[in-house]
Amino acid sequence: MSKRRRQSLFLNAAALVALVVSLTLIATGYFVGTRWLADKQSDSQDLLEIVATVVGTHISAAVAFDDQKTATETLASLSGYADITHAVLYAPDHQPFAVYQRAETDGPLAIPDWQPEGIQAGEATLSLYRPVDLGRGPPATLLLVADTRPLQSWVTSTLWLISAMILIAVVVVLVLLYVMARPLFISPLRKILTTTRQISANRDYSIRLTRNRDDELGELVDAINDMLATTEAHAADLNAAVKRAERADQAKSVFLSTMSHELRTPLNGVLGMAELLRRTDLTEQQKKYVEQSRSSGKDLLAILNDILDFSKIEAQRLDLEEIPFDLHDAIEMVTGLFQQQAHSKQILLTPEIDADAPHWVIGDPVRFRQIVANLVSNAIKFTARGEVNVHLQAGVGVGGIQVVVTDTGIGIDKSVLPQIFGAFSQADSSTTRQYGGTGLGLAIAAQLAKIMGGSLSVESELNRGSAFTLNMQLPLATRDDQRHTPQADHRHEDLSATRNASDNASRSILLAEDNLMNQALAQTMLEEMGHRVTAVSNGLDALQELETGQFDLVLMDGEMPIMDGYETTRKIRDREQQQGIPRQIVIAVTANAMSEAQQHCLAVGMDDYLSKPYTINDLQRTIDRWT
Amino acid sequence: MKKLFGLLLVLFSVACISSVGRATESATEAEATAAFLFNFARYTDWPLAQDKRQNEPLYFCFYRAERAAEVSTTMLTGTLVGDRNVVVRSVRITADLKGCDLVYTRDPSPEWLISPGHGCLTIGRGREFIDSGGIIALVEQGDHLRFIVNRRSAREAGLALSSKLLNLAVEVIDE
Repeated sequence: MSKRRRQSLFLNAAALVALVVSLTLIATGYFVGTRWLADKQSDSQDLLEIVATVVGTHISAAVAFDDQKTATETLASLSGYADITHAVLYAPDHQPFAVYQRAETDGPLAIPDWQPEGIQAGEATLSLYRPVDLGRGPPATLLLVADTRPLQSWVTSTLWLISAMILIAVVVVLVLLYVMARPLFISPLRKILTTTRQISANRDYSIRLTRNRDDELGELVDAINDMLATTEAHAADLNAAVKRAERADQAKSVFLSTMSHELRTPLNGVLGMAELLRRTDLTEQQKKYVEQSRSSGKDLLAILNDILDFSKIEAQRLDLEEIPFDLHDAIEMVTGLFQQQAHSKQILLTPEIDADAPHWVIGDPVRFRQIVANLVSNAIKFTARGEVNVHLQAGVGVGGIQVVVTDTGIGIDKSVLPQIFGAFSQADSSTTRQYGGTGLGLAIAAQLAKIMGGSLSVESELNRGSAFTLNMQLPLATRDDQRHTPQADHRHEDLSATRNASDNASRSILLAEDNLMNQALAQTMLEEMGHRVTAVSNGLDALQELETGQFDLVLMDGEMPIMDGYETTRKIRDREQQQGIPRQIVIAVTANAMSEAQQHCLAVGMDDYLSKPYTINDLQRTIDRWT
Repeated sequence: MKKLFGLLLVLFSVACISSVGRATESATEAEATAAFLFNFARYTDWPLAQDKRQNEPLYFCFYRAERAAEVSTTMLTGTLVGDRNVVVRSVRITADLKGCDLVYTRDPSPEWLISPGHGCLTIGRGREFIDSGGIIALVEQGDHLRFIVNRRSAREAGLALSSKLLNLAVEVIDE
């Protein structure tokens, strides 16, 4: 609801009616009033003229016979006319011959000078000069003066009366309007309003308004009901469509999750076994073969991760973190990670950090590193010789950062530059064959930059090299923020520097894993680390082992037959609570890399998680964190 | 020339008044008389005699009143009473009174008043004139000239006098 003052239909209509009525009455009052006034003025003028005629006729003989007394007496007969205040009869020589003054008038009369025939309106008087024919010679003149104040006061009182009548009429009309409009319009409209509001609030389009009138409001009700019917049908269609879409989306998620799980599980085996094989005594040629199969497996894992990331971005299901992190560290970390790769291609990979570049910022460090890593990886991939430079500098405004990754590689043709950040678009399809990769790296980097509020741009010249520029605006972290930095971000440990800080203390570990190859792999890795391992193939067995034995740590696969890892963990936690025994550390080992699955692990009470496929280092770091 | 004549006339009149006394009237008196005669005519209805047509002149006769006749000739000749032209005549002998519509005399009791003729308004001076059978007699009241009316004589002469006239009369005799 807007805070604007509510407009009322009734008030508007009432104002309109009041205006129309007032205007009509004022106009009528004005016309009738002016007509009345004119009539009144004309009447009093007529009366004055008649009186003048009568008196003139009567008085002419007196003037003719020079009979002042009779003339004065004749004028005195004017006392019958209340409005005439005084009268003067002028002889033919214009000298006053006889005078009359009404008894009530105050003070002595100042006799006006003679004037020729005519009528004159004064401030409060009306003067009529009328010649009196004497038969021969110049006529005598009769002056009659009437008081117009009674007329004026009549006009004033009439105006007041008209105003009062207009006011009363407006009030009466408004009352009538209210009395009539309420059952006619206001109540039905309120009813419609209440019902439609109820429909909007409850989104229940099955409600129908009841029609009990045959006028326009009835038609309105019909129209609203028709609209509701259409909306109801539409909403039903929409719901069905949404459900279909949700089902499709769910299917997609399940498919992705399943694919992720199904691909990772064997990949875990392949990579793990290759790693274990590498540690055995091998001939140089065998070592080379093993290394190649490991490398291929890692590539496959990278592609799998890319596809998963891209799917998540596309589905807008990527959740960003908001934590303080060190930008300089991030750049160092990424370049450090690719040093070996660059070195093997005899390319110089140099990090360059400006002194004024922001240091600590708040954002998602993993995704930031992922963008830079994708750019660096891309640059190394397409550079045969020369160097790759990663330059962190201050961007525009507070917290503005700019990362420029320049290479001396093959460059990109201008014609394909615009599509370079599109999905699956390497410069041309032969590129994919020549250099490998899914072509998702730059698309993911660009999409990540975009959802982090930044932008990614490129400048390139064929055969001279490319420069990718990442512009971002990240809030600067305060000292306080820096102190609360999480000790480690373990979602993508493959990006972080390897730590070799593990002690070699022997732990007893319960390993729940249904895939026998992965069980064997994990067991071999753990035993190589010097731990004691008890392996089971389902949750129920794990629970039994936990009842009889003491374990420092449980590595729990998520998906297992009979009882899965989640259910098992719930039961472990329940038992701990019932028996008051100390908390058993449970680490999920899941092939499902989707963040929902990881969240689910933590939600059921697991302490940490490790994504398959994992290296022996990953496994060791995770165990070290909890022992 | 006319002015000079008027001046001589006034001088002559003054000389006459001083020598003749009240036997003849002054110029002012004559003017007032002429005005009164005219107004008497205005408020009088003459019977329509068979031998007189409408629009015939209204004859004002001055019997042995030359002074008034003279002034009246100047003042009234050509004026209209109703739609009749006023014609002034100076009369010396009774026989010439025939045909007069109005007769003015300074003679208080002229012998011809006994049978002045039908339709003749007789006007004289003093109450004696009324007593002798005249219709209107001019009397002086202070500075003002007033008149007495004998309604019976008027009726006998077949004349109708306006109520306005009667109203203004100092006395109306009707017996």
